Amino acid sequence: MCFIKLENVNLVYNIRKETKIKDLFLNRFRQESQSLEIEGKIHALKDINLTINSGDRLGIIGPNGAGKSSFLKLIAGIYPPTRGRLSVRGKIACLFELATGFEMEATGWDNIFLRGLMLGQTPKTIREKVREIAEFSELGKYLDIPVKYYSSGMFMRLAFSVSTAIEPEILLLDEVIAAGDAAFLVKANQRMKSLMGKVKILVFVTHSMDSLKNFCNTCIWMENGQMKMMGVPEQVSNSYISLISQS
Amino acid sequence: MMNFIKSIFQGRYILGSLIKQDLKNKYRNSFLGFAWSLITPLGLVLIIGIVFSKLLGQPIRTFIPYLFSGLIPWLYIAQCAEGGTGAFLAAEGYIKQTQTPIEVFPVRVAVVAFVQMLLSLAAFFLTYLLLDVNQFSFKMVLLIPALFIWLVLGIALSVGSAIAHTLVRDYGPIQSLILQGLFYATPIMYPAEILKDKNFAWIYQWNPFYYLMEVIRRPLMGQKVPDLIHWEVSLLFVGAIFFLSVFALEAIGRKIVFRI
Repeated sequence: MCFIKLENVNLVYNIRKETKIKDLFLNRFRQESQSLEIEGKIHALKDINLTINSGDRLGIIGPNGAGKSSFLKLIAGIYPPTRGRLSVRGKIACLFELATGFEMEATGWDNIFLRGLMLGQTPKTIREKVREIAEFSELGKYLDIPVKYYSSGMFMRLAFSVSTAIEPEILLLDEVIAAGDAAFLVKANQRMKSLMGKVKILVFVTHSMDSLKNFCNTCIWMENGQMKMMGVPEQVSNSYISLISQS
Repeated sequence: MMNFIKSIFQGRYILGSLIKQDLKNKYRNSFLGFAWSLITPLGLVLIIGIVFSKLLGQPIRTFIPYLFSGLIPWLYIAQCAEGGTGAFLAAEGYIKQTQTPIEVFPVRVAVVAFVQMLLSLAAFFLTYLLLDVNQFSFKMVLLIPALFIWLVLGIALSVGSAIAHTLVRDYGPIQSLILQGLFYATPIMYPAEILKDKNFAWIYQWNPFYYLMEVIRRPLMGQKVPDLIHWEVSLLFVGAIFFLSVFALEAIGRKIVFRI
């Protein structure tokens, strides 16, 4: 039984005002502007109450800066909630910002292994999958060289192949992934679709109303860190689009 | 405290894999590779030995082992403390992408430094064997508890400096200066008696690193057993900074991600 439960969850980023010793002298002459830095806070998520159960396919839509990615990273356990309670049961995989977090000096093989471990595999289970991951990535003999020689597309392939091979129960997906060249993209999309069908819970941040309707059975519209609307994808996306076209 | 151990256990495979990578990286693309871990200290012994015996007239047989039984542990301290400052910053990609327990990253620094210290100590014993085989004795068994204390010391230093530097970026340079000062204030290159003779005994008597030094140096030299007070102060000091840094890490926890 998998679930994600958010109770009164708030996420606040503190913007640190960088004070250098020279500022102590110069500030007297400078006109202070009322910037974000002075305010010192970004309230990324405000009082979110939500329970996501097995079988839910949740789509998240909304404008840039609405808190969609923060929401995903919070569920993923990367950002701790500032206030409120978050409880998650189930093995999570996240797909966002794929191309960071590698040991640059290590080979592709070593990086598959390490990334697998970081995604919650044990040495035994990752060894069973390493061949399949390598095959899917199509990196072939490039896997033998240090990844610092990789192109950005090759990083994507490697990261995508590992992240999608670990059979998660909860999949957190940020749509802004373009994995490699056209041929790989087709393959990646296929795998993503099958994964989205297989997992128990899907949380999917998207700007495409088509994929929203195809993959999700419930939808949240986020705005300014709050849930503005929740309901059937069809209905929520229609209100969202009508609001956009008005303005 | 329990959380710290739990997190390390949870991340043990990741920790192992990262440590293996670090050790491999150190000598990647080098022809002699791991042999350098032995050659570097031996070469240093040769250089310093010649300088001190020819120029300063120090007796090599006693001075070299004394110097190196102090220098190798000190280098370990410096490596843990200095390496710790970048532990979280260098792991940004991992911390912001995966749920890897953050405790793993400073511990990684300390364990890598510890393994390197063990290799240097192997070189030390090799030299010592050639210089003065008669000094080898059963007292060297005390090296085992001493190394354990030093391992915990390294982890505490690395965790502490990782937190401090991530929160306040001025910490790194300040710490470097303090370490430099401590290096001269601690009887590492010279015997403690020199300070005592000049009525500066308080300099080492109030310095916990002196006691830690004695705890590891005496078993290495094989002549004397560390006094009870050496063990006591060492245990107390290491225990205190370990609890302090682990407590700080648990208090901050995942929130460190916002400061990276």
